[in-house]
Amino acid sequence: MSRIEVTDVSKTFKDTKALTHVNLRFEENTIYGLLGRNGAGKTTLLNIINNRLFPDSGAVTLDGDTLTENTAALSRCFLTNENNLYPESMKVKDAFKWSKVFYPDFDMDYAGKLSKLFELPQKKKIKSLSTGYQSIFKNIVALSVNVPFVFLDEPVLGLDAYHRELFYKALIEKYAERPFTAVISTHLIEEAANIIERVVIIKNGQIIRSESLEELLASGYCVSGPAVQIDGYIQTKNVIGTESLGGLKTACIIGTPDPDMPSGLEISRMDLQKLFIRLTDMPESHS
Amino acid sequence: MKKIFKFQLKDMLFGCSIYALIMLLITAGAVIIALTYPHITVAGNGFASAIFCLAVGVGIYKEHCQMAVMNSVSRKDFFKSLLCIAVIISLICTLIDQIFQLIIMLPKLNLVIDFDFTINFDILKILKIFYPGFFETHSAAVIAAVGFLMEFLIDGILFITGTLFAGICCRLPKKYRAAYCIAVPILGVGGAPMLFSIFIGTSIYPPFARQLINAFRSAMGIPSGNPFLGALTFAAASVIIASVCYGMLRRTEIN
Repeated sequence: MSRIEVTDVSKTFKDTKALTHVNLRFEENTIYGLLGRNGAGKTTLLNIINNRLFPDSGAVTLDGDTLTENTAALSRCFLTNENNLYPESMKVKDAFKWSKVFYPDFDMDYAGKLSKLFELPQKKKIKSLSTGYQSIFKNIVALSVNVPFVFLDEPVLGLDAYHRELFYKALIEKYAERPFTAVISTHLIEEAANIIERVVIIKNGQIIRSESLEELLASGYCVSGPAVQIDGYIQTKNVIGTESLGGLKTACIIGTPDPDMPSGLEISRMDLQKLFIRLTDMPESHS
Repeated sequence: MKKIFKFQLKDMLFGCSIYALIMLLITAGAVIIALTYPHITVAGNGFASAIFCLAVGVGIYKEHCQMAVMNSVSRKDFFKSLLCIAVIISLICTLIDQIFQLIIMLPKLNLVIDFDFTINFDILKILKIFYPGFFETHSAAVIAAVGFLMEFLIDGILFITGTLFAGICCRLPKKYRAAYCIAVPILGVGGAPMLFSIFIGTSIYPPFARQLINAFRSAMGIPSGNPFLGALTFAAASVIIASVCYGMLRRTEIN
């Protein structure tokens, strides 16, 4: 089993602590969702894993081999993010050709097929593409490189709903055909929730949750009903958030529902986005 | 390393082809003008290749480094590739320069070459000034070979210096980069020569200036009339600059 292991990684930018003693594992053939609010440290973490930034302390390894300044290990990983690091004058088709040089398993036919599907103009310079098409281009490269670990930082940035759906479909198809580890960092949690298997939640540079989506959602529940009844019910519970609408109230609770729920109260499954908002909204001690 | 080397080499060969084409056009123009108007003198290529190497070193560093890091190539492998490219490009540029220099000097063309140092100069003229004894005691073939070696080393050192300038720029905080990019050429072209001229010309600190000049002359093998000592000094300087450049690169963060 291949795995990337992040051990005790910390990173500070001037007086901002971007990451604090991060410990994390990415197992092979799994789709991860890396969730966090703006400035939580998602991009910094991905950049450190992929040798673009250096940690102040700690280590990142792939099957025991360091990923820092190690071309052999790094060639098993690929990261796309919003920054375009391709040369100014490089065209899409040339970028595909060079990707094939750097990643011998790069599937040119598949890249061509996806380019047609997304209507990506291959003769255009990458820099001249719109934000959406730059994202499409990077996603196509990421899906075609055929490496065990692919990191997608905001892959749907600037994409319209149609292209987002196409991308998620292509990702799932690719994953089914040739499994790999995809780490998707995104703010569109509801959309990503349909494809991710494991969730990593990062808050203020610290990992507050790293577990399977099912486990995470099963770790709590929502209860709705008349406000007075809900207030009485939640008194002894670990409440992570409440919402009121008129006389009705909904509370999100960590734990399992009581077998004998008071009548008039309705239990529902926790929603990832709501859970994320609650977890990242709570004071450090609760999360 | 092979992959990034392939990328860099292809990119550089394209650049060198353009440079060679431009030099060919300039040489052809010079030949035509000189043949049409025999009274007009033709200057050499000067240090066109050295300037080209410096510009290329500055120009490619960031782009190629980003391409390397984005494609999972370590900085160490990128630097190894960069050094190989420095050697190859310096060789090619020296060859281009020397070939065109030879064309201009072909006897059948009967061109009048302007040897006036103030208008233009080439490496052999510089060497002749510094090592007159060597020119008197060695054959034309040896002199040509030494000229080639010196030009190759100068091109190489300027290429590496260019990458060092770019490397420093990449490490600087963004707010200082614009000032740095303006200051370096101003200091290089205007400030440093001016300071040098004031320092040496007026001899503000004569003993120190003399010591400095003597040290430079010794390192270049001028008193002993040995251009190979100068070549060794250039090679050593290249290694030192390359080491500083790697020191800059190894902790450069790309995001």
